[in-house]
Amino acid sequence: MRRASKKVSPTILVGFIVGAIILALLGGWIFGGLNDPFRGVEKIDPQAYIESAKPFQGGVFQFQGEIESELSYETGRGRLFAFRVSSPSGQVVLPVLIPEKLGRISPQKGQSYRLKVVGQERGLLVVQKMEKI
Amino acid sequence: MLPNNSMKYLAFLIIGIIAPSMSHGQASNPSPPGSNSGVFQAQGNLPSLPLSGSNSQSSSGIPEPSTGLDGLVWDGKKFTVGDVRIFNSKFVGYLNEPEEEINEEKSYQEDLAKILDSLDVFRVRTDSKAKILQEILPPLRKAMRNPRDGGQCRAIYNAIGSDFHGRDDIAGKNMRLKELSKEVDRIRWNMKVTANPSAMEINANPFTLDSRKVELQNLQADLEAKIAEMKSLSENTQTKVSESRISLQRVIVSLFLTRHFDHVMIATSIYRFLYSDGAGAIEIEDSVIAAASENAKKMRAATSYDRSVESDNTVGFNPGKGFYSNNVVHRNNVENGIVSILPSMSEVLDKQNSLKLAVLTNIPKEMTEFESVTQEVVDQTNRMMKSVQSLLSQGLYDEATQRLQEALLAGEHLSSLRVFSFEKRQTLWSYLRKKKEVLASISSKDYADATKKIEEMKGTSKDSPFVKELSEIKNLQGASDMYIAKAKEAASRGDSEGVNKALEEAAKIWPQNPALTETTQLFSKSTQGKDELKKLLQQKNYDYIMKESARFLAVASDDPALLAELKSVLEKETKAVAFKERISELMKRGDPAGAWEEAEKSVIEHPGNMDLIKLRSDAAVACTTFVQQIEKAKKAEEKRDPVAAMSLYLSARSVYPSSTIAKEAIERLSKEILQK
Repeated sequence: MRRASKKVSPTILVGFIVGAIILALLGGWIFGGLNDPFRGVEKIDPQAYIESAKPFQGGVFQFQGEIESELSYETGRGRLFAFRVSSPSGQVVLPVLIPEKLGRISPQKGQSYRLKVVGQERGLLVVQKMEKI
Repeated sequence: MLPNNSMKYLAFLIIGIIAPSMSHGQASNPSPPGSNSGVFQAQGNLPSLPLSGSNSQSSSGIPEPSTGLDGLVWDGKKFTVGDVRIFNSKFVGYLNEPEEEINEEKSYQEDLAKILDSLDVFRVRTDSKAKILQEILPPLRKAMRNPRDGGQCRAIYNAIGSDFHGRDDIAGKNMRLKELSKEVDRIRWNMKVTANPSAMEINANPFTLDSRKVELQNLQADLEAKIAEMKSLSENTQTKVSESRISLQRVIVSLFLTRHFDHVMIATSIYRFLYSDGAGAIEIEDSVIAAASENAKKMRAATSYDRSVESDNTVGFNPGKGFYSNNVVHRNNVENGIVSILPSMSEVLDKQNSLKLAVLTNIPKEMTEFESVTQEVVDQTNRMMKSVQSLLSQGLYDEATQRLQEALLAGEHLSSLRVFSFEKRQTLWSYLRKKKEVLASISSKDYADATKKIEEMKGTSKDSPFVKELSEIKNLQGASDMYIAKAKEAASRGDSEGVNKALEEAAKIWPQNPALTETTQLFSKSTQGKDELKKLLQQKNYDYIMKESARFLAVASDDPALLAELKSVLEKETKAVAFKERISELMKRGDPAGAWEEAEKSVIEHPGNMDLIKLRSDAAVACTTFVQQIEKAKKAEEKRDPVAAMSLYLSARSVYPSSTIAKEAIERLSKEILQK
């Protein structure tokens, strides 16, 4: 006489797999977020900015944009660039100052960057950190 | 003596002809004193132009051209005459009068020649009066019946008849005188016998004494009556002779003054024939001249002049006084009477009468003088007529006309003038008419017409009488044009008084100057145009001003302020038009953003230009996003939000990379933003 074998329920198996995947994703998000330097930085609202830049003074924002052109250079202050940024109502071009302390970065027209900026006097966005995408 | 006197008499004859014409002409066309007598008065030279500052101008300072006729020339002497119409009346009549029938004239001249031949000065002394009279009377009768005769031969014939009647009367009276003489002798004898009877009777009867006394008284009365009749008859005979002579003298003077020179020759010959006591040198009775002078004096108020001379013989020698000094001598020479033979312009009657006197006091006093002067006139007239024929054949009508005028003035009744062909007279009349038309145009200051007619006349006659006038006209036209230029110059300075003054002067010189009419109309239009332009500028109706820019520029040319305003408007409007053209072109090329930018600039420069505003609106519809971003950017700038404005301009530029508005703003704002 053969003894009857003990079988695993398929429902439990599916649940296990899903749980494992969730855990993996959650772990990845947690570990990834910890390593993201822009984590917790507010994304800029380009439409609001072009309506009025002054309220952005003192705030730290992040956004992704493509270099459209270099506008100007001021010794001791840095270089002013135009970044094309997407917004729900269309593309907006924002003026951003790359200070001289970030002089090692040499952005070129057409390159896309992820930027962390701080709103200074009259709402001018000054780069704190920027990463090429 | 003859040549000088001939000239004198010829001159007087001419004046004698002129005088009645002159007085008639002026009486029928009186002109008030001080009126424009220059039209008819001869003027030696044209007064200089007023610009030259000459004093040879009319009282009003307006230069006037001469009328073309300065008088007449006789034998090299020039006689200035004041009225061109003097010549016209007689001369025009002559030119339009048919010529004399050749046969009639020939027959008439033959009769006159026969008479003159019969009255040969030597025959008059040798042949009997009866014979000569029988020779001259038939041709004289024939001549006086000739239609060509104007009663001159009849006057001579009657004078001869009168003389012979007088002679018959005198012959009868002479017979009566002889009878009376015999009767007187008889009465005297009878008286002698009656007074002394003893001579005839032996025994005297004392009772017959009374009857003798009575008879003697009767004889005495009869004698006195006869002697008185004799005296009366004698005086009457003398008067008759004198009257006959004077009568013929009057005929001669009359024929001379009326320039019937052919008849003067006959009448003087007849005079010599009838009264041969002076061998042809018989003086005209003073009574004829004196009576004429007295008549003339009665008609004219006498004038007087004083030729008193004062001489100061400061040093001299007088046999009676010795040496003298300061011997002042007065010599008075006051004359009363007619001093001037020239007529006063204001006294028409006086003029006529003074000329009458001038003629009467200067007529020849001797028959020989009459004959000489007459022969001279006839000869000169004939020579002039030959000259006229020659000049006509050469086509020199002006010279021919002048010579014919001169010939007519003296030799009006001479054969050479009477047979001058009608065809030739009409040729000269046609020429004279044209000349008068030119003079009329000059007188009325219609210089353009005068110039045209003078040029036409050059094609008719080879000699041009208006060379001087043509030159004068050109000068006057130039002067008038200069005043017009002065008016325009004054207008450009806005000097309306100067304009009016200059135009007035130009009109005075040449009233029908076409440039004057043109300028006056222009000024009139200009005034109207200025008002219109000012109204349009006020209404800002620049479109219409632009359309009529050429007219308005001309209108405002003399008003510096208005012209400056107009030029400014036209400059702006020209730019606006250029903007419109560029905007339309950009729209056509599918560049609405570019068109909007251009329109935006144009509206800033021409804020009130509705066309540009409309074009801007049309362009904005075609590029809404770009326009909105630019508008927002501008508002942000106004709110002193340069960063937002910069962002908007950058966005706009991304839409329309060629945007100059965005480019300029970005450059401007970049600097501003980077400044601390």
